[in-house]
Amino acid sequence: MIEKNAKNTGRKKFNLSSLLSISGFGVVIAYILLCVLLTFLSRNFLTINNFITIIRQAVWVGVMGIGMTFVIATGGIDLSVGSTLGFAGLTVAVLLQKGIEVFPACLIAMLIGAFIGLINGLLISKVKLPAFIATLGTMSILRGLVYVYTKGIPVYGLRYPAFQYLAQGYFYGIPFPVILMAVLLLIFSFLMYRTKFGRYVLAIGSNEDGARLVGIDIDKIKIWVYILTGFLCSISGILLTSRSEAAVADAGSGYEMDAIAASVIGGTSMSGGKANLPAMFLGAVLMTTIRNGLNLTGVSSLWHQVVLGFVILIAVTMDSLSTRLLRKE
Amino acid sequence: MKEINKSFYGVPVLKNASISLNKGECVGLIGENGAGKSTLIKILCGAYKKDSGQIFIDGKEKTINSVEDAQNLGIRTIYQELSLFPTLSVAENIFINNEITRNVASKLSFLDINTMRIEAERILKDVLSVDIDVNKTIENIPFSQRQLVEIARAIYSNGQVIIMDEPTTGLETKEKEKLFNVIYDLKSHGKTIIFISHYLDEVMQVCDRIIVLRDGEVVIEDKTAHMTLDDIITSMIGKVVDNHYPKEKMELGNTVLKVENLSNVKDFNDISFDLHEKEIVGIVGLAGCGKNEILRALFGLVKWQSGKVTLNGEELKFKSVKSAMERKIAFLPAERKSEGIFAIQTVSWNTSIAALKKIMQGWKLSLRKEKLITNKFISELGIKVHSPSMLISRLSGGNQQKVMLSRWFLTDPKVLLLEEPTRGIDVNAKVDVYNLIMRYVKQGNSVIMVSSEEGEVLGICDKIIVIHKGSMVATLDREKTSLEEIKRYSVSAG
Ligand SMILES: Nc1ncnc2c1ncn2[C@@H]1O[C@H](COP(=O)(O)OP(=O)(O)OP(=O)(O)O)[C@@H](O)[C@H]1O
Ligand SMILES: [Mg+2]
Repeated sequence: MIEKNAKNTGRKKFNLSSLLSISGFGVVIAYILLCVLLTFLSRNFLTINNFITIIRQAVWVGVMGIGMTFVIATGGIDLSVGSTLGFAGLTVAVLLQKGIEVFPACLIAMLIGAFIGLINGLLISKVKLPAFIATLGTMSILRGLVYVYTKGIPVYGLRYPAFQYLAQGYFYGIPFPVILMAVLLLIFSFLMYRTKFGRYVLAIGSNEDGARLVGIDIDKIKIWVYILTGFLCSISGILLTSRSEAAVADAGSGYEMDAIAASVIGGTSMSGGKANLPAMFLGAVLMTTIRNGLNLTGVSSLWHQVVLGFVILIAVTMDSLSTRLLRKE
Repeated sequence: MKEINKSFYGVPVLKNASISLNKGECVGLIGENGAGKSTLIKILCGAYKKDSGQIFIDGKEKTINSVEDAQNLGIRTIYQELSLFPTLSVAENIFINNEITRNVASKLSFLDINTMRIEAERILKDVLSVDIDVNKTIENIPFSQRQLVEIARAIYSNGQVIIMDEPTTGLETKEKEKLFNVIYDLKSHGKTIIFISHYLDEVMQVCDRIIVLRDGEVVIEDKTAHMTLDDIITSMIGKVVDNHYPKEKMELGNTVLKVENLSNVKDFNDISFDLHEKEIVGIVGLAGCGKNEILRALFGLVKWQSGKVTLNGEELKFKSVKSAMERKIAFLPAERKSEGIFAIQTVSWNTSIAALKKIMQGWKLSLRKEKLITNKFISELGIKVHSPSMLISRLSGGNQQKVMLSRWFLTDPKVLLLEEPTRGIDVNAKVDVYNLIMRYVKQGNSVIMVSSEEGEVLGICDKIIVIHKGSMVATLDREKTSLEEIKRYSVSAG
């Protein structure tokens, strides 16, 4: 009875609202508008090659953003992602220079990333530091260590074919990092939406007291979430080092803001309990597109930050408008 | 209020509902779970916007677009779900948005914290005669006292119309009486009160007039004196219901849980009792007597210092809630909003979260299974919801409670710990819940419940333990006791 009513009174609206209810819909619109604009502004924008470049560049933030989305979904925050990226990127560079094989070198870097995550997780869940403070601390320590070791001079000349392949190679004509990104998105989306772990992550973010009362081991889940994030950051770090064939001291600095922005543009709520991984990647692509478009149209890079800030605000506003529209019905 | 209409997502919730309120009158608003009571009063107090209809106050049409508008018109509300600020003190909560200030200079004024503290104490002591430390934060006082703070806040701020959405849930008989006296007092000062409750005897006791809402329509509006309890129930539900406790006498089985000399000094001392298969044990006592803590201790939420708990012969040492759940113990908390629901998730999500194993397919959660299971509970408990994928926060209070019950029944518990199990549930559905509990006990399981409603405890429990200031003062047999005896023991150790 009730359901029938709903359909009779609001058939047209119903379709519209179901479309709007797909979280991230606002981002898609914002993205299309942006692309149309950039196509008019630059002849070189709307080419397949350029899009491949954009997506490839979005991978650094995208991989990190997966972790950030998990962290934010628990109601936390991780400011150390950029530094973890830099630290892991340097680790792999140093190990390669010392003559260690590509595979073990990457593995060690990833373990170190995971270990950094473990420390963050322990500080937050066992020492009970606020996530913002704990990760602000590790962020500073790690970046500091990178500067101390490199003294600001990049570790370069990493011309090992197997290593170069990671960020520069192609797999059946598709750039390897893009494939990696797709695989990671699939795996982690599954983890988020179709496993106990994912449910628990969202439960903690929606109502921590409630989560405790249904028997969720909150500390354990939080620790694992930060470990995952550290691990994913180290993958980003390895890819970035592979791409530039060097480890630069300030690699990844400021990326924490990009990762947070990508998550939020993708509809992840900062108060936790909600997450949308594919839309997060769309957010990362959106930001990369802006940078790319501004470069192509010859806007001074000094202006990039300003434009980026505006676009973030517009995208998030559109998303919140579409949800509000939905709520009104 | 005239011909108020409201629908959510195209589903009409209120259909031409018209009600009128007179000065110095207490009006009872009753109806099944999801009938639209809360929605109607939320429109009056500005929390929701009406689709159509008019609101007149003293003969003049008024527009209420926000909670602030309603406040300026003298409308005060005690919401069904508590709306206190947990990290602020009792005094701060009572005076929120209504602070007492002291002028220092013409435009500069300071909060008069001392006066507010004294005033808060006075209201709580003189009017509600309870002893609450007004400097404590809300999260540090027991749940039952929070309700009183909420009431104090509404009556302090000197409104003309005071709306109370299920104010007596979680209150003890004595506190209820106090509230009723407050209502009589307010009435004699010419205030108007809207009183929503599922305890129909209370409604008949305090209200001058009763309005019955069914599926968003006003079906009856009449003087209390002209109605009988049966009339009301029949018009509420639309059919005759048998509102008796479906208690059956059963042979009790073996001892399942043995509690021996359990103490944690702070909340309870020297508690001992046995729980058998097929037995329902009720724990009663005044607010803050420690009964909730005893129950919570059995779920690993409160630690004990001395004493012993054995489950099927094995001594229990809880490290966490998880270890209690692994031993097939389940716990339904009274505080639905803060400890129960995951507001931003769907109904099916909320149903399955404590028993995800049930919907696993290998590594994967099966959304199909989840939906199936949820639908089963929806029809079994008569949960009013359009689909399992609706957000739980959009359900009426009583229906949220039913989802909470489903959640715990889904874990197949052997021992079910219930804190105020029928909180906010209507007369008809209460019988459903009792039936469900009886059926569950019949299968050889056991229940311990804490309830502030003595009638309910007497109605379905085999054994009733009365707690006074943390100690057991009596263990009563259902068949040999009476409401009077329970009450007598709760107030004094004699
Ligand atoms: N924000 C909302 N969004 C969608 N539907 C809603 C919302 N609030 C209430 N409803 C629906 O409106 C109907 C009436 O709800 P309401 O809360 O008024 O019931 P109630 O009479 O107060 O019930 P209870 O006794 O259980 O508290 C319910 O079916 C509920 O699902
Ligand atoms: Mg209600």
